[in-house]
Amino acid sequence: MGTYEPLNAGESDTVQVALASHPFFAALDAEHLALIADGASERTLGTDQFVIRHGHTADALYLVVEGAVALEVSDPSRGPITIETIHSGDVIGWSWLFPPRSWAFDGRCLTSTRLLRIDGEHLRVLIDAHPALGRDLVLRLGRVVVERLQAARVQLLDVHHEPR
Amino acid sequence: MSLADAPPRGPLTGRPYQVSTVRHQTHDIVTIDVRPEQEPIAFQPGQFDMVYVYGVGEAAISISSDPATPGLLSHTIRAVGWVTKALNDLQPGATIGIRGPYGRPWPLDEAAGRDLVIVAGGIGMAPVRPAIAYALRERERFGRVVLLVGARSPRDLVFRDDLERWDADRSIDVHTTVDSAVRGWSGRVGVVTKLIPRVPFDPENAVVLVCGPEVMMRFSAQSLLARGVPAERIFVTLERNMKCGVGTCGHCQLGPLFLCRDGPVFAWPEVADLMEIREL
Ligand code: FES
Repeated sequence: MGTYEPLNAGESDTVQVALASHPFFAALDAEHLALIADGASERTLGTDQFVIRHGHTADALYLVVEGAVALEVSDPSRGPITIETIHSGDVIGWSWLFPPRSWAFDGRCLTSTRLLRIDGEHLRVLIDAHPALGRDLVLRLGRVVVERLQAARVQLLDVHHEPR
Repeated sequence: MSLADAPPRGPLTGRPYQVSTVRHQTHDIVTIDVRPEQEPIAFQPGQFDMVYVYGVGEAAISISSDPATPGLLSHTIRAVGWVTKALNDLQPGATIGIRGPYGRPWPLDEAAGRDLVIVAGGIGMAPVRPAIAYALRERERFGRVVLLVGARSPRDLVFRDDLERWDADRSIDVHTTVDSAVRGWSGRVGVVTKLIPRVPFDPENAVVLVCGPEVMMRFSAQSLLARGVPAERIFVTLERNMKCGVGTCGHCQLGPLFLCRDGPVFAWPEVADLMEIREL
């Protein structure tokens, strides 16, 4: 995914235009985009509102248009720990794709955040009904997963830790 | 100062400097400002000094201050060994010995007319800080100036005042991230390499300076290459234990290179293979 200049709120007449301008759907077939747009809506959440909650049903894919979301894990002894922040141009969530379809983290907005929400059930139906679209979508998600996995591995290396 | 001149190389014997300020950056990193008792010696961004604590020993330390003010010299030090621990404990008014500057500086002339991207991890901010000071003063020589900073946690960020000032200045595009954080930190969390595919700069027309732990530099170089930055325009700075600092003792040898004399700054193709070797 490259650099991203989001459209201003209200600048895109339709959700489809907003989807098309998001890096996650860069160069997606227009026909596929129209099918996906049928299950998409725009929403804005305020600071500290949750996009996703750990243990709740994972029912959508979110594209961050503007703002930032902290993925957090609760640790009873330390409080919530942020493991990663997700920003404009990034996506949140692939748990809607696989059983048991529940979120593994909390996703808390760090600021007022504009999102595109695409219904998970809608996407699963499309993946079954349109194999080419399904393949494309799964490849795009796979790329995000690989990027996050690689980043998580570097994070695990704790490269800044100075052995004493 | 023209960076096209040969890098200055200081005398082989130390000169006394008086510690004027000690700034605690984190729990184990300090910046020590010193003033020479004689005429100051010019240095270039990326060069290092051999710093001597009388009665304890000597260590190679990058210069972290602005090359435009060689009369006020700063070194930023993490306490890891005898000498660096002694440096961490210094008080204003103490006298230390310094010889230098030594080593190959950052190739800032090569960045002229191009985007200048700087990737710094942890105490890696220290050797790039003089380059940032230079770039800000000579701002019109460069296209975009982008600084990507990573640290283990918010409390491990060094030069926070500078980061805030540069960010507010807007002539430089600052992106800061930490590997993990508890609530209260409203900035980015994630490794610094994650920023590389995202931030705006022209990869084909950029010069990138990378400084930090070696693993972080390796992953940064991979991300930069994937983004399309030519390998020969990615520069890293390497650290090894140094003794003479001037290429005579062999203490800092990495394969065929003496880091003190041939580096510490290297173009990625010069060291890529050496950095992949498991142990050296
Ligand atoms: S420290 Fe002696 S050769 Fe480099």
